[in-house]
Amino acid sequence: MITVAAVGDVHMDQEMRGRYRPRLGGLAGDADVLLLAGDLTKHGTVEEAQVVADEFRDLPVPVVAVLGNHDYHSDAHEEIAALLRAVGITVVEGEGTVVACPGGRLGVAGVKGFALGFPGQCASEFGEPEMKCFARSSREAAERLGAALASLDADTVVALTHYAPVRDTLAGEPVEIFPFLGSYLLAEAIDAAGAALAVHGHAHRGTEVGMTAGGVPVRNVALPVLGRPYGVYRLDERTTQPTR
Amino acid sequence: MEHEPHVKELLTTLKRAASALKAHEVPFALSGGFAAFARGAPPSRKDVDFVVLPEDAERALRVLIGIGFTPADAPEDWLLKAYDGEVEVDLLHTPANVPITPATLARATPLEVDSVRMPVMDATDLVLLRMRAFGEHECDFSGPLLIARALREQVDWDRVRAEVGDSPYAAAFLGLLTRLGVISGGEQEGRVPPQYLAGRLQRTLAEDPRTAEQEIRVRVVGDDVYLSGQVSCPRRRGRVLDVAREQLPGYRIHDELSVVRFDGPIREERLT
Ligand SMILES: [Fe+2]
Ligand SMILES: [Fe+2]
Repeated sequence: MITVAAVGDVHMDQEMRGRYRPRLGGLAGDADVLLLAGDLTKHGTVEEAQVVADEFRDLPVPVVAVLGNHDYHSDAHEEIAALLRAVGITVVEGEGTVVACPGGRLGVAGVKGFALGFPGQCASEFGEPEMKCFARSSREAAERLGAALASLDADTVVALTHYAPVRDTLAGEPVEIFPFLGSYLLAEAIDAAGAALAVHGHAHRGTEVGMTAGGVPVRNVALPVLGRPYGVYRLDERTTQPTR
Repeated sequence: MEHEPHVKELLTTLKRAASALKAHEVPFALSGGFAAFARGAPPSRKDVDFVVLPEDAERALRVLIGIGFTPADAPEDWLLKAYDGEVEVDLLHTPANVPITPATLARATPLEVDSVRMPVMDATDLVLLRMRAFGEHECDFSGPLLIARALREQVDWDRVRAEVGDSPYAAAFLGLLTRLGVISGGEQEGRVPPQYLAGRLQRTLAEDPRTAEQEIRVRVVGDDVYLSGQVSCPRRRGRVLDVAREQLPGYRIHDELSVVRFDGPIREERLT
C-alpha cells in the first residue's frame, strides 16, 4: 500500500509566504510522497519560486513536482526548476523518478502537458504553422509522458501533469474552454502504461474525480478544487496491465 | 450596373427630370430612396423624390410639365406631384412642416446617379427627413433601417439626435439602431458592446501582472459589471477590483469574488 498526497495550483507569491507551510504539518502521517501538479507560482518569477521553495523544502516526505503554464510565464522555468531542485524537490518534465516507500517502489512520471482538447473536439496538426505548432506541442508532451512512464522500474506508477488528461475533471469549467485545459493524448499515454493514478491541476473550476477510458482514476488536485491543503490517495496493490 | 426593368424606368425619369431642372436653373437636390441609392443604399423601387425651395416648387413643376410630365393632385400641401407615364415624381418643399432652405440645398453634394451628375441631399438631412416623417401611420422602420445601415458612416448621428427632438418614434428608431449595433448610443458614444467589454477585461485580468487571474468571470449588464470566481488571497481580490475600475471607469463594479480556501480537513481516499 502506497499513499500519495497531491496538490496543484498553489500559485505562490510573496503574499502567500508562510501561509501554506503550517498546513503541511501532518504530511508524514498522511502520505509517502507529495506531488505538486504545477502552477506553483503566480507569474513564473524566480522570486515567487523562492517562496515555493521555502514553503515546500525539508518536508518529511519526498516532493515531486511538475511546472505549470504560470511557471513558464516569465521565461524562467529553468531557473525555477533549478531553484526547487536545490532545496531537494524533484522537478520532472518528461522524466520519471522512483520513490522507495514502505509499501513498494512508487514510480512517478511527469510532464506539464499542454492544451489540445478531447476526442472529437480537439485541435490537429493542420493548417497554419501556429496551429501545427500548438497541436505538435501537445503531441510531443504526451509522447514524453509515455516514454517516461515506460522507463519506470516500479511496483506502482503514477502520472503527474499540470494539464488535464480527461474531460471528467473539468466539469464546472465552461465547455468552450475545455480544449485549452487539457489533452486526451495524455490519457492515452497513461492508459498505455497502466498507471494506478493520474493527478493534474490547471482546471481551478473543475471537479476532483474522474477516470480515463482505460479505467485509471484521475484526480484534479487544483487547490481551489480541493479546498484542503492536499488530496490523499491510497493506492492498494494493483494488477492492472498496460492496455498495449 | 445592370438594373431590373422597373428600376431602369425610374432612373430614366429621374435623369430626365434632373436634367430639365438643371437646364432651367431651378435649385434642387435628389432626395428619397434614390438619394440613398446614390450614397450607397440599394436602389429604390418606389417613386422619384426631389427637394426644392418652397418658392421654387411651382416653377419646378412647370419645368417637368414642359418635358411632358403630367401634373397630379397632391393630397398633402407639402409637395407637388407629376407623372412621367407610370412613374411618380414628387417635389418636396416643406416635408414634415420643415421648409427646404438654401442651406439644405447647399449641403447637397454633386454625385453621379446612373452616369448623370446631380446634387444629392446630404446623408444626415436625408435620414432626418425620413425620421421626421415618422408618426402613428408612418412607423414601418424597415425602409429607413435599410437606409440607416447603408449610410451610417456618412450620417452625423449627433445632429440627428439633436434635430429630431423628443419624437417618440424617432427615439424608438434610434433605440433600434443602437440595439442593432448600427450606431453607438448617445451618451454611450464609444462604448464597446458588453460581450467584447467582458472579454477584454477578462483578458486584462489574466495578463496584467498585478492580477494574473485567469479564472475571473466577467458579466456586463448595462452599467454594471459583475466579477465572480476565486482569487488566491484577499489582497489579490483588491487588485482585481482596482484593475477592473481602472479599465472600466464609469461602470459600477460588483465584487462577487471569493478567496481560495484550503483549510478543509484532510481525508484519505482509497483507490482500488
Ligand atoms: Fe492554475
Ligand atoms: Fe494552469
